[in-house]
Amino acid sequence: MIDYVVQQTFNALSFGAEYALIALGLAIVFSIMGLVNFAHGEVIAIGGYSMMVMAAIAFKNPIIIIVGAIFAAVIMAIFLERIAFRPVRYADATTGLLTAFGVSLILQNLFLLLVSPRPIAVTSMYFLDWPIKLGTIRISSLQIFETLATLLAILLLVLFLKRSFLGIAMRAASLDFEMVRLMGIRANRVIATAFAISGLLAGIAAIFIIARRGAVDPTLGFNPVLKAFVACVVGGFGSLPGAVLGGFLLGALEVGMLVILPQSYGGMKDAFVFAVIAIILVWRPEGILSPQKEKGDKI
Amino acid sequence: MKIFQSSKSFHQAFWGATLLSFIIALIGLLVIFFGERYHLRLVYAAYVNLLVVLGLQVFMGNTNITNLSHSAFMGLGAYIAAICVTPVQIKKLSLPDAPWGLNTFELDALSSALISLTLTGFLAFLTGLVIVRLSGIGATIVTIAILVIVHSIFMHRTDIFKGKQAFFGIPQVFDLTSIIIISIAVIFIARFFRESKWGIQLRASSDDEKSADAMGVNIYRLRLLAWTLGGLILALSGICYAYYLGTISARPFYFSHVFLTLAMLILGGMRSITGAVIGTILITFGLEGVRFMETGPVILGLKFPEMLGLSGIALGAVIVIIMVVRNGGLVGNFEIEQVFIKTRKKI
Amino acid sequence: MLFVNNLSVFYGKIKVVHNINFTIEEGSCVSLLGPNGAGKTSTISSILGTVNSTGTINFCNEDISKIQTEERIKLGISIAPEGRRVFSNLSVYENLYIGSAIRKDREKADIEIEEWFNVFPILHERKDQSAGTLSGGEQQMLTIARALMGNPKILLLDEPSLGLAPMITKKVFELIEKLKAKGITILLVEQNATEALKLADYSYILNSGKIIAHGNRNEILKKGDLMSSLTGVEN
Repeated sequence: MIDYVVQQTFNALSFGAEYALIALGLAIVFSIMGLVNFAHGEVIAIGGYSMMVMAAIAFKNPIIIIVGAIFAAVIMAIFLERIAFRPVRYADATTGLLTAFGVSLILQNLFLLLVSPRPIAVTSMYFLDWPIKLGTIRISSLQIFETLATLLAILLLVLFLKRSFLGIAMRAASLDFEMVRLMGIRANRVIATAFAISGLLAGIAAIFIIARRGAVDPTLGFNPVLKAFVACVVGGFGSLPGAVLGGFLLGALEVGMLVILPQSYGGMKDAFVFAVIAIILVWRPEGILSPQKEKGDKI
Repeated sequence: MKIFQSSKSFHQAFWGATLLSFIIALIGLLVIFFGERYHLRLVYAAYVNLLVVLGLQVFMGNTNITNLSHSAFMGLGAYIAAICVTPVQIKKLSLPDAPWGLNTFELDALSSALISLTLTGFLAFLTGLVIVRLSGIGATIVTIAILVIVHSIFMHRTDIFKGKQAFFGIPQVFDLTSIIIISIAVIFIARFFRESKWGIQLRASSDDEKSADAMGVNIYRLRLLAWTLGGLILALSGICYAYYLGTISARPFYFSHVFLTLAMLILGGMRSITGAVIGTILITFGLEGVRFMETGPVILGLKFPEMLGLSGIALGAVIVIIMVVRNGGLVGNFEIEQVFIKTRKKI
Repeated sequence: MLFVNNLSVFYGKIKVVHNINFTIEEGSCVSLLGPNGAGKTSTISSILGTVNSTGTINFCNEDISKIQTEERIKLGISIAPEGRRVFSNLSVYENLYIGSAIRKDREKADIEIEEWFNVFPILHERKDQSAGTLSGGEQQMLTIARALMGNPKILLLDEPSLGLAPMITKKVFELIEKLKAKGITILLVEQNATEALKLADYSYILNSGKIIAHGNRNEILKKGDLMSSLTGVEN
């Protein structure tokens, strides 16, 4: 019994880690720009496709592939900001959201058109996935890697945001963007950094998704990002700790549903998870850890 | 009960809707008399989409909240009517395990439609109670949740909905004439709602919730009204879809359709009915052209390659370009009667 | 140092400032006075480049009218904005640190922050606290210190006394007096005309977007009736 619980806890942790990773990427961009980046899934997919390309060019060294994938994702994120999101930077939130939708549609179909509508095998990351036995508990190494990687990423992000000048500037920008400009800090630099970080997180997520699936297809990022969105909103959209909390909560919920639901309902796991989320939102419409409103400034 | 702030609002709404109806009827009649089967189907589909877009417009255009669940309500409307109206012999074949005696009765088309409208409307009302209390992005996420949940139920409860498989045997009682009439009716409804005091208050409040609150506008109630009305229109679109095709399945009622109809609304301009109509027409016909190119046709002796995905790219590009260049859509707040009637600048 | 000529400010099609001219000499303290809605903040915003304006703005012999906001700040224009606008979830220390953005020698920022802590012991006491938890007066001190962290050539002060109790207001103006004594060039926008007039070497009175009077301390005070009706200062 204990073993089962431990095993499921590992599952929940690794699912949660992946959602948290992706949710953080979304939250960073939203907290600074108010942009709901629906195209984030395609940044993940680019990570996957770049791995495919590198494998095809016969790069065997996994380090190169990992670095390459992350690099591709970062470049893609920065590129998207420059081309598609800068023109609507100061427009209202709905405009930004719909723009991101459009970009997502275009990219998904570009992958379809230029590569293939079918999944393409990418097995270079399989080496990360081997079964581990701890007594009677069976888990996969991938789960450990993913959880560790996520925790490491979160740690580094926190350090960056607290200690580095740019990080502090980004936190300030999420509170009062215009004031940061009035300090002489270039808006473009802050925003590009935010996107670069989100690309970095997306790239890492891509590595784990590919390691698990072994294949890339145009909709690789779509479902994970959908779930990550929900995680963000439940945690409090725009709040970084909220994104992490939401991610792990969602992971726990999913595993919980898998455990609780009888076999016949298994296919409806997603529906139940979403239903619970909807209930949480009714109770806490702004999310559990909604970003704190401006304090002070009594005018 | 005074619905319109002034007789001027009423007149604008009336004439605007009349003009649009004229256009819709004209296109429809042209196709009926001169078009081939293929054209008839295309235009019928376009009008079904028009109904969806109008249902979307009633909520999104007046509250400025992005709604992604509209295809789910369309699906609900379609399935409920289909289940009620399909003859028993067919249901016994296609839904052998149906619970609650669903495969033991059949109703006429009208009653089935009414039941579908009532049930779907009720579901819209219930979900609306949750949605209207949420802030912009939170509401959007819940609409995503609704879409996923409904789709999941469709796909999973094959004993009722048949999932991926086709639910067949629906009596095909509608033709192009029927949907022309229905479209005209919905255009009037949507337009009147827009110019009614509710529509105006909603649009004013969507820009500034706090002041609206201070002025005694109950924004939750208004949103609920718009949401439920939209839901009813969407259900109607589903009924029209089922009653023409005779066969439905769960697949179409998901994200692709959501994006397609969203693009139609955005292109035209989500704040205006004229925009909804224009956007639907442009994209329906534009997409046919793009789909033609997708198949790798031979034009003037040149063989074009097969380009699957082109339609998705075109759709996405339309959305992005409109957002960047003209985010009010092609017509913004403009309504067609303004060509003839001088109006003061609207909000 | 700052020379503004024929400046007009537009919000969409609406003109809120009508072709005004003013000059700020290096080392002087100039005040811009006038009732609510006169166009004072719009004028400041045009100097910063955050609103649509026409006319020329000349700073240290350079025409900055077409330059981006961030670049203008880098040239040495600094602002303590209306409403303080401290970064509420950042600590007092972090707020000051951000102020050093335009310095080339950011490592020395710590030293400067220490100096400010000497001037304002209360800020030192609260250095790790969220800026949002400070009182109004403390926030005003913080925002001025933050604005000076970059060693600017000119300091724009927008309504520093707004919303503050008289005792605190007194302290704020004492601080401004000290800054003046240090030779810092200041443009002070205020509704509190009494204090502003005492401090400023030269004053401009704005009303409905036009400059209706200007002069040095003595000249301005002589225009008694005008002053009283506009700024509520009894002569």
